[in-house]
Amino acid sequence: MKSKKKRTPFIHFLMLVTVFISLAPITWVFISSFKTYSEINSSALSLPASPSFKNYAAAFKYAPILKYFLNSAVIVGISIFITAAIVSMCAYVTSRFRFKLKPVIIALIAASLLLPAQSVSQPLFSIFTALNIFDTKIGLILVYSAMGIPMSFFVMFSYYMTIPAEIEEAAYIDGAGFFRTFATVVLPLAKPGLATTAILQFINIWNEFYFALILTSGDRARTVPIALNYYMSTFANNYSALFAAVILTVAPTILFFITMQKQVIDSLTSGAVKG
Amino acid sequence: MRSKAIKKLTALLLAGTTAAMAAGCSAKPEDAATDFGGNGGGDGTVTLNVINYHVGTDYAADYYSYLFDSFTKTEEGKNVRFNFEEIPTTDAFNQKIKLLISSGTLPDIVLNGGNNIIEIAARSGKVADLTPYFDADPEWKALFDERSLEFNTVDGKIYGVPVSKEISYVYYNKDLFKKAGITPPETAFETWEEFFDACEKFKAAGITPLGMDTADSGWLSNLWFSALIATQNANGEKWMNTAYPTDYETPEVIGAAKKLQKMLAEYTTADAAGGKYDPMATHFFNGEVAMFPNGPWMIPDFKNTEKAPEGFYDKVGIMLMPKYGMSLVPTPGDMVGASDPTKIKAAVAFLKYETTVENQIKALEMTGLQPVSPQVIVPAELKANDPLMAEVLDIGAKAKTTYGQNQAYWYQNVIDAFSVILPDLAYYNITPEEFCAKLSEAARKN
Repeated sequence: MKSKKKRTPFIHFLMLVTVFISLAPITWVFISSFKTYSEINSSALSLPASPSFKNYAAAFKYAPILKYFLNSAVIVGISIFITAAIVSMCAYVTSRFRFKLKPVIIALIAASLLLPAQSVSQPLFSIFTALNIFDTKIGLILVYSAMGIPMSFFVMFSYYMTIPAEIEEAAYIDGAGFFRTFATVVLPLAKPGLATTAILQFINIWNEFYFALILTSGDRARTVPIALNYYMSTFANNYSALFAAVILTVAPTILFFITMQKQVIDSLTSGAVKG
Repeated sequence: MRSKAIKKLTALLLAGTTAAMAAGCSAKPEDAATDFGGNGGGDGTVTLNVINYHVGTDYAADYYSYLFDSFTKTEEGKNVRFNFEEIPTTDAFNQKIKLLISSGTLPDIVLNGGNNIIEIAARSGKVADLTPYFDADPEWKALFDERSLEFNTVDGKIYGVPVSKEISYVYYNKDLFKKAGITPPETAFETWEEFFDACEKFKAAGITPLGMDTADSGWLSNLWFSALIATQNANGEKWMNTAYPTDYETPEVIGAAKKLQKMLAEYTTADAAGGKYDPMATHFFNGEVAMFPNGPWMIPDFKNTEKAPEGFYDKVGIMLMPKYGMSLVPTPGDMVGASDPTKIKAAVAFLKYETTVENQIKALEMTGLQPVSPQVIVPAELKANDPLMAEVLDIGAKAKTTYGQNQAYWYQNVIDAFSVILPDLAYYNITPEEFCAKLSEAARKN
């Protein structure tokens, strides 16, 4: 009891540090979005002398950020869904069963992790132009879904290894078939793994710049990272408007998580086996 | 039974939604033309594809918007329409244009994005040889000096139309000179010794003498470094006017690196090592550093009260680098990527319009871009409205040594290496000799 009491302040301190590390960057960007160019460059940590929404107006003036934000939301959402659907099945089979080409498949997926984006840009550009999917959302969705497979595969592969095989055996004994066992027993247990892959995919795709640049040519498929470039240029960066644009594009995601956090946490913690 | 029907219905709905999303995601509106290399329109109009990086906060965004718009109102451009792809920042533009060169799908007008891609583009065979168009219009050709055209020539053929000249020199804060008891030279410090004596006086007066940086390409430090090399002797001048040098271990470059190390360690702000251009420019705007090297595109910022305090413009003076040095680089020009003769003709008409004397003056007025043509006479009214710009135009003629600077003349990986190892030089982690050896090593990888 006594040692528990002693540990509490330390845990609180650790929590405070974690909260600070998580919130400090976005708080700094938020405060800076009300500062002038001169204030940002003179003193990074000062408060704005006369806060105004001028930078937010400038953010809308320079780039179609709302359009790009919606593009990002659609592309990221669908890509995550496709990757999760493919990887959840592929990783399950490769982690649970023995078959002839299993090592080759795993090696091939691992090898694709080593491919730099630039090395595939030229063939991708030519294929996209030939298939008439250049400058379309579906083009980017295909690329991002494929790009996410290797890393997500290994996350899910490791996660399935932690689920005891006895649970599946019990399901088989109870008469469940292969697909039912996977869909109703294994997949619910693997939700935390799926959530991890979804978060990693989200971060990677949301920030991806290179493919969004080379595989698009207009506003209908371009994403947030391209929009943020509108505020940067040689000798003429507009950090004030850039920070305002960052807040405008991040805020909806944060608001979504705050309002939906109960559902998100519930979905991660609920499993097939009830206690 | 009921549950089966619901499942079927759900599956159908899911499939339908997915198909609709796929169709919606890949659908292109009718006006979406990504037709690089097609023919001119049948109704007499010609649509030219252009990738424009002068967008967003770019210093020339307003000028290029004016230029494209006003061209379509001229006799030569009345049947021309532009189909723009916007790519913000020159870095992103250069990445994409290199991909388009290798895939052979260049836009009809290839704007110059700072990097010298003339040779790569010319050797790819994807850009038009403009020599016949220059030969057919001697008046247009006469607008350019030989050096500017030569810079845009590969194997005897002109591929680029130069649109401006890039120059740089030193801005100084008149108030800080007065405060330190130093009389600013009329044109330039006669020697580097005089310049360093002034730096010592600034230090003694509690004023930081120089603006420098190391991040990105280390632009400001590079300007000092280039001047230190070029003004040493004839060998230094020759070296600084050589494209793509591979030997950085010459006595002139090593000597310049020694002085650069001293400048970074003793005469600049504490945040210079690792710092970017913007905070360093703010130091100058705020009257925290006395001398700041840069080009004429910075002049509009002196009047911009978002960046500089009210009245700052009047506090700024201009001088050449010590020993009357000035960086003067012909720029890589705009190219024609079209293959259809009608489109080539229309693209050339635009490039001619871009380089008319009137538009060179307009570019100077709106962006600070220096006229490429020696024939341009700047109107007295413009000089009166912008005395600093007038001073820039006058001081250029007094330069005794002119030279290139690294962004135009060095290999890209050497520019990157320069920026990466500058902090080590500033903190004495490496010697000037080691610094130069590392630059040579990077250059030889090309």
